[in-house]
Amino acid sequence: MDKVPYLTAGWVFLAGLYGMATSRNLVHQVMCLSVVQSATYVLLLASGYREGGLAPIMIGARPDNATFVDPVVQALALTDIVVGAAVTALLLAIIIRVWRVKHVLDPDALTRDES
Amino acid sequence: MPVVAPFAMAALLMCLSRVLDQRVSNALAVATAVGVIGVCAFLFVLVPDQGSIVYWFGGWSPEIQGALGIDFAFDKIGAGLALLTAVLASFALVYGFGYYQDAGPLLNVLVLVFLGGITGMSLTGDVFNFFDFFELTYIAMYGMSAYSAGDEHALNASISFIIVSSLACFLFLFGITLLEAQTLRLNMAAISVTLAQSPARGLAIGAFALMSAGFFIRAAVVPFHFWFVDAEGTAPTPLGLLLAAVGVELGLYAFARMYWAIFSGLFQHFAVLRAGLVGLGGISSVIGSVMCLNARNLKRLVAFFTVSHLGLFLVGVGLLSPLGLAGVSLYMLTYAPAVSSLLMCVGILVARFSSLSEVELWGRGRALPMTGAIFAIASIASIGVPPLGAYTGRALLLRASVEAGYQWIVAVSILASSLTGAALIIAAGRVFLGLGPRPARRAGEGHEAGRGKGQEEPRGLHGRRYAPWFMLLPAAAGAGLSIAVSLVPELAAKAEAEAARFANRSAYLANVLQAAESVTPPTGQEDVVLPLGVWSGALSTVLAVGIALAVLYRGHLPSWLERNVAALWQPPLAWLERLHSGRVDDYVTMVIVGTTLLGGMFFAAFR
Repeated sequence: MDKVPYLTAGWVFLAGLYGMATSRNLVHQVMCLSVVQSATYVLLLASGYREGGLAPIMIGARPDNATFVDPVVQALALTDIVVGAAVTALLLAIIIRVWRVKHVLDPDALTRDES
Repeated sequence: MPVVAPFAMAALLMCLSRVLDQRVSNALAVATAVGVIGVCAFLFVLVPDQGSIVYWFGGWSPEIQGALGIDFAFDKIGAGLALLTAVLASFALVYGFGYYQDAGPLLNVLVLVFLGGITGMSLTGDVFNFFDFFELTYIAMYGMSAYSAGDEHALNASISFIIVSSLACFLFLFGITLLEAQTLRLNMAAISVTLAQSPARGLAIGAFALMSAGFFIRAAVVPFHFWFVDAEGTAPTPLGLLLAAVGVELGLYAFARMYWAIFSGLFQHFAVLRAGLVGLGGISSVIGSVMCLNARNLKRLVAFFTVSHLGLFLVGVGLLSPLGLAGVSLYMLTYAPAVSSLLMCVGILVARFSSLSEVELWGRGRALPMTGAIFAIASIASIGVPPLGAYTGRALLLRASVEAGYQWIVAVSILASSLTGAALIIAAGRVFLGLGPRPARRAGEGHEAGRGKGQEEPRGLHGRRYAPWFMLLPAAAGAGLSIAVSLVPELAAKAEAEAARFANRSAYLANVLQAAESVTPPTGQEDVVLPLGVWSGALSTVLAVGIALAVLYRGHLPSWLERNVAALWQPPLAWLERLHSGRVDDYVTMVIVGTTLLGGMFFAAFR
């Protein structure tokens, strides 16, 4: 089993987390969240990969004894992408509202008490 | 069926939102929720005592395909949780009649999606299925929190809620994927069997650590609880109710389900894991109760109240014994309706006076005697004054901890319940009776009280003498339900037997995979009303009243006492307040710290 994809996933995950923890801009923060999520796609696809596997299309002619990559995790990745898109859209919509109310994108300025 | 119905109705209501009258939509939503209650009750009765029901979708049962299909597998605890959720969701729906006049059926749709997600989570036997429902409930909650957010505090709270919760989902997903990579299975029972034969279990432990971090974020365990308090402090009441009463507790259910179904055979040093979990729960409980006593924003108060109780729940789950689990499920059963009732009363106050601050509301609650009475009953139920409300569950929980050798949990429980109880009594006394001198605003209060304003609460209530029936009725029902449940005889013994079933991994595997006839473990039907529960409950009640009176009539205390208490109390409090900064990046940092800690703990228990 090749370790590279797993290490990549871990690296991307940590990089995204670091970005989220240090971010000074809400939009940037949401993008970092997407980076963290991309790590889960890499991991999902890596876990389903089979050496020399074919695309898992089970209808029609196929060679005997062929191996297929795992279709289940690919379906999971797809679900994940859909959810991720929805959440990102929602977050960006909220950020637009923040901008309309306060004209800031810095989380610091948002929580500081002005009174 | 109980899962599909709410989703279908939600979609239908959404599609018809332009055509349907608001009242028709409300009626349909409530009818769906009541239908789900019926189905869940039926399922609950259908599940044999100490047994479970397994249903494979599309007939993909394991004899044909080797556990590739998706199954629902549940016992009385799962079915009971689904039932409880359905009841609470119908409260939320009825309570929400007055909300969002211009939002159309959105609230109904979101509550129904939430309900469907939770019932799905309670019943499923498939890890990824579980994850989907986990995320679905979150999305419903995101929608509710974002919809009502008016000012920047509320917006900020909902941003940190969404970001931290998404992280929880990703951690969970990471864990699942690692498990999948190792076992090539997504069915809980199949994973468990495969893992038991697999040589490399370290990876599985890592996966479990990541998953647990996700669950604990959801369960608002310290140090993952920050998002919850902020979200709860600014959320509209129907969301707050669902979130505090079942939303977060599901995190612990998830942990318990995964632990007993999959991982319970893997740990070498069981005691280390147990000590870690119980310790985490204890810390949670103490921090929650201290912050609860300090909170002046009523919704934040209830939020910390919940954090404190969740700490105790975690102790119960973390004991990793059937008895502890039984205690938690009973505790939860009485606690959830009571806390939802508390929140509904707070919601009525907000609707009437547009304020959440104990200081601003001082004495004004006298205009709402019914609400005050319900608040008082709900307080009694949630504090657990023997023999009512949360008392039975807590007594069982305490017995479990003493049996496992954690006597100090009794002290933690007394401390936590007296502090949180005092906080509720103080709040009720100030708001509804106008007790004590008018509290002065403290420095930094504007910050805390400011969060929660600008939220969208029902309009047109300002001039009314009484709260409308649709707000009072569910509140009263919640408080009543909590008290009524605690008075059902023999419930504790039954809960114990069911918990033993839940915690029995081999029986679970056998049932799902139909490998062998399951052997139900015999459980002793012991006397549950034990002296320990009674005296600790009584002591915490007395202490709560004492502390409350001391705080309310602070001016009458000798000055040396007041000064010394303040000197002891202030520095740690200031530190805690600083931690609750409201900044997303800080919360993310806490998540990283907490996850690392959990991982370390799990590996210590594994090696």
